[in-house]
Amino acid sequence: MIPDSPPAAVHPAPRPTTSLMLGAGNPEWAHLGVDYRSRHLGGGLSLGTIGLATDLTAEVRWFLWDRGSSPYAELGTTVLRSWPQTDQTPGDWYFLGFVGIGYRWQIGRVLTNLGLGLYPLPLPPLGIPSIFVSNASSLPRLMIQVGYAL
Amino acid sequence: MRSSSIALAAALGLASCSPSYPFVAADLDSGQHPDTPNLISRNIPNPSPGQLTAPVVITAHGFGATTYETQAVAQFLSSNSVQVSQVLLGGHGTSLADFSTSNWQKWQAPMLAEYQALAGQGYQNLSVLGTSTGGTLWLEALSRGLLKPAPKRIIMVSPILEFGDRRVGYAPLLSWVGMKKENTLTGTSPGHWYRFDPVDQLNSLVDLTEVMKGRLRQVITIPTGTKVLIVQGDQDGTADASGANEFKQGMFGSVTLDLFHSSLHVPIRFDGIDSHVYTTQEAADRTRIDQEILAFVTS
Repeated sequence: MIPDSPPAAVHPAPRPTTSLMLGAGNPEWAHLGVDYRSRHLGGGLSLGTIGLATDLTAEVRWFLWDRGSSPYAELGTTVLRSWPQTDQTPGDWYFLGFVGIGYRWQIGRVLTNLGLGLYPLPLPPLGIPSIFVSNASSLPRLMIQVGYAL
Repeated sequence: MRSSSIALAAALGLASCSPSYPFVAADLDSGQHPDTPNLISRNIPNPSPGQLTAPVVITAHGFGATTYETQAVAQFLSSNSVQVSQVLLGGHGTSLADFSTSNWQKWQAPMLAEYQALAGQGYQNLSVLGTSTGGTLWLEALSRGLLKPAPKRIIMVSPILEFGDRRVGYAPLLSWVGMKKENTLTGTSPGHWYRFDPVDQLNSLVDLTEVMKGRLRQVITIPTGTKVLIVQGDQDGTADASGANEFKQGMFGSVTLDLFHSSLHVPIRFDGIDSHVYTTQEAADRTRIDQEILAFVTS
């Protein structure tokens, strides 16, 4: 008689989860944010800095697998604004769009996102680009984040 | 215990944000070899009627440089009966300590002071010439209405707007990990340029270019009677040539862009800077540009 073997481990489907994230990347650079996920769909909102500009990034993600660790595809946009250094500094806003793919590892409450994608694209209104926009759009989409699920 | 840890972390943070620069005695950075401006307002306190009506060019050099950068063109113009006043930008030509406390508005202050002094003395044929950052600073002053009456001619040689080395935009991040920008000074450069570019001053330079981009997007109107000449090498590795096009497109008025094939930044300097020896073509370019500037300010 072969004793009954334990049932195979099943990856639990992720409950709706909100996480705090810390990361670095292009175009959102060093950033802090929140991440939300419910089954296949997720998204994030983060605030970052390049040192002389602030950026706010929003992205939506579609996860291939309905479990904690999964590949994903993402679509996002970043808004950049230069820090006011002098009273002459213009308060212009710049917009970038990006698409990419990535992978999320989830172990317990700890999350790690690793993403890459195409070169971020400057969005209208176009014109003479800020150096921060030029820099961001001259590198591919890259992102690494670690987070903690609340 | 916790407060001591915070204090220690803060001290380490400050230490990493305040890099120490190793001085070489012969360098401008040391403060032992200050440059001096060559100003008409100071040299000629009582100009003659002929001097008041003859062409005058006020020159302004670039970031981290001294009047040496404009010396060659100043000599050429002077030898052709054009009076030249060479401004030393604020924070420049003194010491790295002085430079480290400056920003672009301080760099610009002596330019405005000399322009206003000469205008106040009654000089009627004023033109301005700026190399690299100096060119950008002249246009910034014009766009704010600080050059009154407006200059007859504005010459911008390799004006900075787009950086050839875009890492300057990451200067704050790079400085946080302890990186410094050290220039390689060889040939006749030592003593005429700062060896180190502090991050705060690089940030201020970025701010100046961002300020100008904002104005150029809105379009800068060149006053009637004023003409602008932009001279730019198409392969300039310091001031990217795209910036020259953006300058031209962002100005409304009489603007001429002389975009030619060259990798030189400020192709009107003396030979021998950074050990560079002009090629036959570069020497011919320099002669042509000198003549072009002369014709422009005397036309």
